[in-house]
Amino acid sequence: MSDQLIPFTPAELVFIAIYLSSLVAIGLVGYRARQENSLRDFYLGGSGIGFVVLLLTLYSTQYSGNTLFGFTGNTYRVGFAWTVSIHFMTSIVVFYLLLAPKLFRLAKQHGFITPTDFIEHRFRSPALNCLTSLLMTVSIANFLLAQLMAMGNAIEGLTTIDPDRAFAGGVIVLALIIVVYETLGGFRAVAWTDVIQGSVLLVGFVILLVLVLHEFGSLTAATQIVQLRSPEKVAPPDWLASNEWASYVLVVGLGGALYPQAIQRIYAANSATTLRRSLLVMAFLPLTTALIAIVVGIVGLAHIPGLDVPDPARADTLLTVICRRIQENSLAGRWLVVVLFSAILAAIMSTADSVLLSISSMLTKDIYGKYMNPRATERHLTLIGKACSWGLIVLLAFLAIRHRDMTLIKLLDRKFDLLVQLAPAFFLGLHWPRLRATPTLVGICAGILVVFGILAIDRMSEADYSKIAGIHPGLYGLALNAAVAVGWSLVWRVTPAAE
Amino acid sequence: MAGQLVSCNQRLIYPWLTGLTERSNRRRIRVMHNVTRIWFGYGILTLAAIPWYWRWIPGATTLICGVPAWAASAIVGSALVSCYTAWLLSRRWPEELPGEDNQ
Repeated sequence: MSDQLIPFTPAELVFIAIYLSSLVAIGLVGYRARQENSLRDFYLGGSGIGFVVLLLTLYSTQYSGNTLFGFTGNTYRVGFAWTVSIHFMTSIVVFYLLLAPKLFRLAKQHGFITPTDFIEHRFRSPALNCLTSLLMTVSIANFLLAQLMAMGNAIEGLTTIDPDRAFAGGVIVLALIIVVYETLGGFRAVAWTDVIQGSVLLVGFVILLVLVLHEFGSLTAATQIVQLRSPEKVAPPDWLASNEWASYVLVVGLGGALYPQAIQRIYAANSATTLRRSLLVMAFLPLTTALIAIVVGIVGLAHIPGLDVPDPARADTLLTVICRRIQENSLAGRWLVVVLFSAILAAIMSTADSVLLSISSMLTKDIYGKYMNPRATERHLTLIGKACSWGLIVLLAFLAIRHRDMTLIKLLDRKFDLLVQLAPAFFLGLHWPRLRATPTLVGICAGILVVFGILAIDRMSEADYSKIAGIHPGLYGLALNAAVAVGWSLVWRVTPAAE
Repeated sequence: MAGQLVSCNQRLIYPWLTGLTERSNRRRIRVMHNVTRIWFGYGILTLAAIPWYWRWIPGATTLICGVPAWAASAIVGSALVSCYTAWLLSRRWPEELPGEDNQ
């Protein structure tokens, strides 16, 4: 039996088409609501967004297709040890406490648009600006590519036509929808579509939990089956797994708080109070999202055995397999799967559009506007930003279709290893006036070298060095990075003005 | 006596335990400061939430609501981190402008 969804009926496809069309319509509304043809209006939505929009855009950007497919799949592979996902998603909000208050105030005072604007304001070092933009762009472009591939995979299961053509069609159509509404309405359209997508995602998770428990029975029964069949997946973590747990909390907490698209949402809040209240609610969302993904993973592990044999990566298809089971059983189940499928699309598209807009803003403002055409007008830069989005989406869609069998799991892990190298520049830069530009720059370079060094050893060696003693390479890099940045800054004798 | 206790709590005990101070601005506004004690609180909660100690505790895999006890403690630990964070976020930031919460 195929693991794919049963192809949707025309009526069900019309429902999904209406949902997707509504996103383009919102793009049009966003276009009409624009206040001026400026970078600030296009990339941050002008004067700022309120509580509900900010909360749902933060939520739908933070939780991607990876939360639905990756978290359920990984629970299937490792069992209850993936409870760490609740902890590390919460830790992102915890690290916002260090970042958001001061960064928000500075952003409002100095009109920041991209994350690098803070680096420029704080350090006044073109080299550090360039490196920050480059590191952020590389880290999240990879993430965008993964979302495009997830779009292709999602559409592939809908049709009976040739899988390769369905995959390519899915990538092209959904990428086109994203880039159209983003070009029309910029951040405003992205944030407003995130309201719909975030709501659909929240509802989708609840539906998923109800459907899975109704279809397969209680969590207790499922855990007892897993306990008998694979007791290691119910056992408490050993010292190595405990180290890995702590490592995940740090690396995802720091890295997730430094997502450029998340930083731009801090800038976009209309007041500190709005931002604070949105983060307050965000603190509880891992308990409704990651926890449900774990429950689904455990129930799937108990009732759909052997999915990860011989290829462990196939466990990521667990959600599709569950959807197919539910589709087969009742008409109501079929329609709930349609809503669930919309939630899957929402999770993927809402992350992809935010990442695309963020990369476009950094390429336009931080690279083109600063180094290639410093005299460009706001209107011209906005136009270049839109062109950047189209160019980028064409390139990444081509890569996604061309390399559809490429495994991105390890590459996705690497984005946090790279992003955390920016932690001293942002966290220490905000709170420690003595931090200097050159030590920070050298520290980041040293951290990146450590990360790539460990990864190179891992590739060359037969033993697994992707995590040493359970700790991510990014944290080893960060330790050296911070030591260089802090140590050198402490002995730095040149005055900041001279620097 | 009762008044002295309340005053002592406001001036000494509450700020020491929480790292939060209270400041008057027409009405009393609770303000959050990023101080060491807040992060010490997080350290304690994180140590409790990471289930490193459960391998020495008998009954670690006893099921509670369908979840092994060690995983349940990790979930409760994460929930406590969420509650602590929410509680801190319910306080105004020092960077907030007076009257911003009226927007």
